[in-house]
Amino acid sequence: MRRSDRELPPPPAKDRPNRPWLCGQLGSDEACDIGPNSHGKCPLRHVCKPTRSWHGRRRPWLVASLAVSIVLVALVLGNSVNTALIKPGELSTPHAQILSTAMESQRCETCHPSATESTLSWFLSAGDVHHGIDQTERCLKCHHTLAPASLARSAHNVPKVTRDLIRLASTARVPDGSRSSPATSHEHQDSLACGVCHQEHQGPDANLMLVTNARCQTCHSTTFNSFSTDHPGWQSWPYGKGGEIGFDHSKHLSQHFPASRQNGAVVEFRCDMCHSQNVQNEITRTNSYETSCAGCHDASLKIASGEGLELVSLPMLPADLAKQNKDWPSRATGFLDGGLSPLAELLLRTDKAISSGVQALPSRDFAQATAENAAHREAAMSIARGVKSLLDDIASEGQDAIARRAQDAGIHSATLENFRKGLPPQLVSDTLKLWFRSPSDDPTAAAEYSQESIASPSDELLLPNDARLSDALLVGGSLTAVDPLTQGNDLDGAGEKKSNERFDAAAMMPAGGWYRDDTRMAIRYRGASHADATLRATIEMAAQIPHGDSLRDRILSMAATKACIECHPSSVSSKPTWVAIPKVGRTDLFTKFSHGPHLNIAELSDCKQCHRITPWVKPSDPASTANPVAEDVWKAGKTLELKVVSHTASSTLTGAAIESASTAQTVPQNETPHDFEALEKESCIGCHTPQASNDSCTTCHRYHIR
Amino acid sequence: MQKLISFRLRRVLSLAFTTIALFAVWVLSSFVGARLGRQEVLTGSTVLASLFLLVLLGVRRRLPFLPLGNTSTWTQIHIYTGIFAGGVYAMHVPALIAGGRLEFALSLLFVIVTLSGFYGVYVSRALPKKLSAMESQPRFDLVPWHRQQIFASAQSLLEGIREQAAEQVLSVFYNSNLKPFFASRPSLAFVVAPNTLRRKRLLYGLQQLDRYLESEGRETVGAFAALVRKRDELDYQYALQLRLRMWIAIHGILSLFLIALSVIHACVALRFMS
Repeated sequence: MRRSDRELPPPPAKDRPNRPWLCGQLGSDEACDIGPNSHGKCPLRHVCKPTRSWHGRRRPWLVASLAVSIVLVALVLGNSVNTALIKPGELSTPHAQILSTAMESQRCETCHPSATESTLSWFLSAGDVHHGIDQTERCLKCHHTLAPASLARSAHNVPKVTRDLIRLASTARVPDGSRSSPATSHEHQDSLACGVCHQEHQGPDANLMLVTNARCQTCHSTTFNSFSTDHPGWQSWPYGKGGEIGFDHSKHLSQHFPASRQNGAVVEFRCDMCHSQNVQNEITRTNSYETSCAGCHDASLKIASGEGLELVSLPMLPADLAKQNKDWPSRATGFLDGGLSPLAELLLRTDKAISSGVQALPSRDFAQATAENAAHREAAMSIARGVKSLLDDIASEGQDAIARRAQDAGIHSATLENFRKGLPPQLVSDTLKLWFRSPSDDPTAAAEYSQESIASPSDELLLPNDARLSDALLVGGSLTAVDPLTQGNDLDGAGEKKSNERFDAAAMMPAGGWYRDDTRMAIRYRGASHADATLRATIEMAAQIPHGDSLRDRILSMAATKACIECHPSSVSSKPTWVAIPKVGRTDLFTKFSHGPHLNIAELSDCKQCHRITPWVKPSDPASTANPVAEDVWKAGKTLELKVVSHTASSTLTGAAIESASTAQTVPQNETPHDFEALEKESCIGCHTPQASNDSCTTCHRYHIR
Repeated sequence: MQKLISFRLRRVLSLAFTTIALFAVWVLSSFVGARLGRQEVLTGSTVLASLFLLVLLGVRRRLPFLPLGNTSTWTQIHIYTGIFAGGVYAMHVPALIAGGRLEFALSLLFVIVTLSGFYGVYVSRALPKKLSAMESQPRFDLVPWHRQQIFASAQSLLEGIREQAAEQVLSVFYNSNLKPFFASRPSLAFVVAPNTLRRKRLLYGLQQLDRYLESEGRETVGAFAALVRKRDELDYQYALQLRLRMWIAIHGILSLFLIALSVIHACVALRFMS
């Protein structure tokens, strides 16, 4: 202590630490031993005014804070606060724009069913008005086109049975380095909520579709460390998924183009002749027929389609049988000949007598039947009556007769439209009047009829000098050629000159159409050229006839239909496809790809950098006619891509079907053989790394499959 | 009794344990997130549980009679749980300060409470050393009494001057400089940032009076100087103790609001979770 320091009194002895109140007389001799009570009152002296200690001053603040906190919690739990207060963050721009017109108080409940309930209702489970309704259902109110409601919560929007097939297929080709293990997801794969992956309230610029690779793989039995190291190769991807257009790249490159000449020079096989770049910088799968194909194929296609279809033709009946059919044309009377056209068979197949008659005839050919055979005679009669009744029906009922008969045979009505709308009932009606005139009305026919009636047996009806022996039908000449036979067919009888000329469909109907062939006693159709609606409808009708039914094969093996199918093999599938379906933008495939960004890279602007056509091998060796790689894939049935098949409304199954799968609900989409060398993964891993063009799962794979 | 482990070793072990716990939560959270689970529920509930554990320190202080371990252990648990909670919070939030109003307030509050916690770790270690280094350590609630005693002593000292010349000089100086200093509470500026400027200024002024005084007057000046030093030390003690107490009060009150907002956030999040 310094010399000048002054002594100060010691601290009061009657101090009471941690009490809220201090004695007002603290430090004086009058301080009592009891001290102030909890309310700050001195129990002994009124003049003593206790003061608050630090502890006492702090307590009201704490109590007030606690009270405010409790009130805050109660307000929120009681749902009494403004919903804007509890909004955890701004919505993404698309959702914010949609909700901008909604009232502030209703914005939450647009997506959150629980927003209309008090939080206290958690404790009151009974009577919950939103029982069973969750946020995902609210999502699907707007995003209903994403997937059918029954599959919206299923992983990849595909049913479990399909996912099982996918898993089986993928585990069969686990590459080295990857891990195969049971799925470990916390979520049930058929009750996934939208919010599992799409987290809202992350701000206007948030990417709601951002999913990590780990989350992608959590359900997958086979997982990969990275794209470059252990992602499986895609073997024949992206090939073998089409098949809509039957184009042999290899053969065109090796054979057809080198053999072609344009202005004396060999035409170069260039990819952009058929695959041009559209405004979206995307490569089209095909160009139009007129642009890419017509130059070489139009002439031959016109010839093939000119062969056309035969709706119906009158068979030749022996005279005795012809007599039994009232007004049976004399020109259709003679030895058994002719046959039942495939289209007529289709329209008559619900008639059991005719069906059994067709079966009774050898090869469905009257010419191979014998007039002495009772069964053959009966079959011929039933078919002849059926043909006549078909013509009568069309003449009286019109196009509806065709629709009715075809539908009875199992043909879908929508398919019939293009077929029947081009067929004028008047043509049939006039044909009937012409062919089935009674002999009394037609002296020429009557004379022929009487001569034929005398002649017996029927084989002798054809006299040695009969002009019909030179019929093109008998000698195998072209139907479109000018027939030496001349028939007087004019209804009005005025065309005496024309009666000696056969109707030349090739010359008279270059644009195609239905016509009457009086020479063959047939109603025929002449196809125009490419994209003929009637031929197309005919093929689609045939496609609905079950496989194994010979009628299907007979319709599809006609020259005109065969020419169509050769380039449109998918037209005979249960869902006929005539054009190459663009793959870009499709949402039914797990893999997505866009040429646009890739074509910005100079070295990739050459198509052949990625797409190399397999050299064509002469067909001398049947085993090597197709691309060996594709053939291998085909035979092995390995699945490289999953094709989604839309289903009818009645079907409960929708979604993806593995290509090798074959179920009643799904259409198997086996890979079609192709003529390209396999596109190696190495072509992609140079750029697709985490540091460069991204190698995340969602870069190339789509989650939602429609 | 000698401590089993040193303070430094204890701190290293505690930090290591906290780091391991944080890593475990991160691994678990990643595991849950990668498997389409709700990792935000995991981290959020961990933070909420940590907050309740942190509040238990205050409860423990208010229940000293219960055999719940000593306060020092609880303080250690509080400090490292706070660090742990801060780490898990970082895993929980997409941004340190959230966008929504409630979330903005909550995140801001969390950050403030966390920062105040770190500040508390500093002041609870640095200030007691400064306080105990001084001559006297008056109890906070008795500071006004001590202040009054110093003032009374200074007043009596002035009244005890017998020399006329000294009385004239010292009373003028006392009334103009010393009395306001002794009679009033320290200024807010001093409480916020204690310094020696007042003390130096007053001591310098007293020293300048020596030339006008005889020996008795000089002794009185020395006594005034001693009282100035005592009062300055008392104010310094007051400022530092008030800082400690204010920190605890603010930290505690904000923690209450933090708990309340966290409960609200948890309820809202669970309610609106799809």
